[in-house]
Amino acid sequence: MKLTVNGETRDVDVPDDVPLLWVLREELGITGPKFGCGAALCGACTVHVDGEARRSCVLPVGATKDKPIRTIDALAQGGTLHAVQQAWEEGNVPQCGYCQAGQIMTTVALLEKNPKPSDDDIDSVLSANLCRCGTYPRIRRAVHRAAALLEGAK
Amino acid sequence: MNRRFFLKVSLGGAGALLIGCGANPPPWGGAHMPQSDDGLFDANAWIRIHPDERIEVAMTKAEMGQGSHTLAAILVAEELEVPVDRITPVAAVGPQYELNGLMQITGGSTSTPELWKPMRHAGAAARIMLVQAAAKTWGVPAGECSAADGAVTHAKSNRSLTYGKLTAAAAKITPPQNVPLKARKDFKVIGTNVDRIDLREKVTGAPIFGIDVQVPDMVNAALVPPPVYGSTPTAVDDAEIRKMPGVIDVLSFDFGVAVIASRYWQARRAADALKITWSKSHLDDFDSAKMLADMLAAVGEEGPEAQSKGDIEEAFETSGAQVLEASYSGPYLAHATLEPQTATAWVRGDEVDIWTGTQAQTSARNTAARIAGVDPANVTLHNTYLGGGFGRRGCIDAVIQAVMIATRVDTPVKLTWSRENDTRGWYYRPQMVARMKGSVKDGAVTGFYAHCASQTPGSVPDLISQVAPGWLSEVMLRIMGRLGAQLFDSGTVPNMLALEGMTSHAYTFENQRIDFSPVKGAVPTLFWRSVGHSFNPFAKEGFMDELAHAAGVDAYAFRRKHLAKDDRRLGVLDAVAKLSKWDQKPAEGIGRGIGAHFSFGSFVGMVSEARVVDGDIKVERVYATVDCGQPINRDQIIAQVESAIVFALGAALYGRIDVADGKVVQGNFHDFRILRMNECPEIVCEIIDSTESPTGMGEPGVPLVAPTVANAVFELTGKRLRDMPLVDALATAMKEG
Repeated sequence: MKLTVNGETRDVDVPDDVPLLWVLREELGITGPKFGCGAALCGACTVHVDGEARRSCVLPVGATKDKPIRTIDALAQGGTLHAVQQAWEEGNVPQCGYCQAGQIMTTVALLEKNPKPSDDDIDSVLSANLCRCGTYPRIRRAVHRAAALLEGAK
Repeated sequence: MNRRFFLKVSLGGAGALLIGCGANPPPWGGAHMPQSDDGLFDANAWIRIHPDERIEVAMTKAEMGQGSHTLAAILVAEELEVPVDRITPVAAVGPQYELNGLMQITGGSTSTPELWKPMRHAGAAARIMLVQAAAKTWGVPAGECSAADGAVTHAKSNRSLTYGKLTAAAAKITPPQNVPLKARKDFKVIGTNVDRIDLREKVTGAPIFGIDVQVPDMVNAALVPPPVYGSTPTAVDDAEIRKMPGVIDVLSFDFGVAVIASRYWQARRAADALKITWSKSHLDDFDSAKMLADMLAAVGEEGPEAQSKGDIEEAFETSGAQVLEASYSGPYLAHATLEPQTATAWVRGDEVDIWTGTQAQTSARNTAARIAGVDPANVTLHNTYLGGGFGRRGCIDAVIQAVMIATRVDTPVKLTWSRENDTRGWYYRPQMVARMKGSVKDGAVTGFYAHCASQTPGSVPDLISQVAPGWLSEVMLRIMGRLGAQLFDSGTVPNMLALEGMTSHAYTFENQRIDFSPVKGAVPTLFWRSVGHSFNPFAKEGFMDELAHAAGVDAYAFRRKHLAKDDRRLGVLDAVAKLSKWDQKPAEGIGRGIGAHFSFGSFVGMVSEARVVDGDIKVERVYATVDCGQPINRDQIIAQVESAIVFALGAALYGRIDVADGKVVQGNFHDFRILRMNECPEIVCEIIDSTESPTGMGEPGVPLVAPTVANAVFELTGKRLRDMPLVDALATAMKEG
């Protein structure tokens, strides 16, 4: 099966029903997306499929054929951080850091659709991403900051 | 990053001199580090400087989000005179890194107090040697040279050399015996806001966690644990399973069945399809609700006395005294680190390698040595970043399992727990209860009684194996574990952990008695962020509110009456009253609760503001004031307060682990609820300036969340919530009308 991951075409030999997360992590060595729950409950595994934030731990790899897959591993371009990553650093958001790949990928997708989200918009999307260290107040602030950075870059 | 370097040093002749030194005398102890002519400067066991200006600092404390690596870097950087971001953390495991002189462990909010002096001393010693090396190179007195920004300068002759250019010369300098530290007024970094040093890895999805470890030829393991703790597999029907793609082996152990496969997803699928027959367990009939009812019945009577002062009976019987009585309870709780437990092990001959993120470095190393039958010196523990700790990674069950599996597999093997393995992986915060009785007269407490009951918040055999020396045999360990457990279960040994926050650090009452009924260990328990303080202040502060209400005194004013003038709790309590504008009426529909507490050396005042909407508790804002001595990194103190409040609020509102017929009911985040972003309050935190020695903040933000929220709900609804989780308690109270 051919997959398009982070702009590259990759060949994998796995059954269609294997979750995308494990194909990325184990077949392709792309370990940015994390395993947290295996049931689309925590969001640590979030990647973009065709521009949509998806929970790769429950998404059968077969459903992603011919669709571009994007992970946090390729979010920074040529050593330059994405505005969302930059805002995360400025705000000292991460603690243990385990959920942050998912938080950041969810935020990137949110801002691509809604460049100026309100607190309620942020809550309604990011409440699906758990953070056990409780970085939520900083995530909220960083989402607004990232929106401002993206706006300024236009 | 060369993770083995510092360990190798520890095994060298000079390293041995450092063993057991602890923090006093300072850990470099004037000892020479073995120097080679490779141009590196190993100033001491903590600091290595490279000719290309890189500075590596050995990290004795695990980084689990609490910022221990950044903290160590700040302390070194302050004295070494380098920018904090020049420092590269290197995980270090070995006897010379046992700062408390007993074992290397990360927990109990000890990283700040334990690193405070040794890391500054290490940085200062290295700086002194670099300055002397420069002076010698130039042939000038060292007193004329100064260090700043990673370089030594001789102002008179306008010469300067960076540290990287001085490594070879510094390696020949004798380490100083006397290492004066900077005066507080000269701090440039300590007390400011410093960025974490692990940000870049953590915003780019770098492979930094135990679960990300890849070792050549590694295979994967998935676990099927027994459905009931203590039962073991008696028969495994694996004929079909072994034919599944990628499956290499199916192995039975006392702790369950492990499927070994090329990939984790293959191992997991095969494991889920296994048919296993399990033996009976002593916990087959165990029911946590029944246990809780029994505990509540037990505290209904008087119990073995743990602490007594004055005469509570007299206080209760004094005419005009108003006497109140109420019982409080808290459930078993899982830690629910977002990274499930995971460990990679490779056992080959007399060498063992372990890759994992653990809070219990010494224990992991010694236990692995025992299992594999090798010398602890031949065990290399590669401690990765931890995807959350909260106490759970102070337990090394996954490491033990991985090493046991590895003894039967020829290659390195990575064990990854599923979420369900983790939620049902035992080692919970114990169920805890307290019956409170108190009297008030003339607006103040005259007598205060509590009868507490709980298992010890840490499985005794496991705790003993944590501190046992590496050479102790497995048999001796088991005997000691059983004896230790008996001592605690029989009440022979006072249970400080189960009572912390109740016997100690409470308000000052003239007449006080605390009884404690030990509960025999039914299921394994463990330290859970703030340990005994995670429950006792819920009962204590909740009941203080009941007493204040009965006395007709404002909750803040009532607490003030029972704190001495020089008590730092009074400082945080007054500060939080001011910060939250306690003297003004809250907005319509808002209830408030207030409290002050001391734990792990730090003082916290807290006010929670909550609403009740359709039977749900919505906490809108939490104010916290903290006095943790000299602040080191202000931003990360606040981050830890935020973290503790969110962690504790999830538990206070929703957290519960139930056991029915010996099986854990909850399994994943849909039924073991933790706080989500839409449930997260605004958090306003203020740090009290202090010149006292710094203390940790990983845990002290936890204890006051549950009681201040419960007290806020009472103000709104008139319902006293005395059982956690509070949302369930409110539903019950509403039903009862």
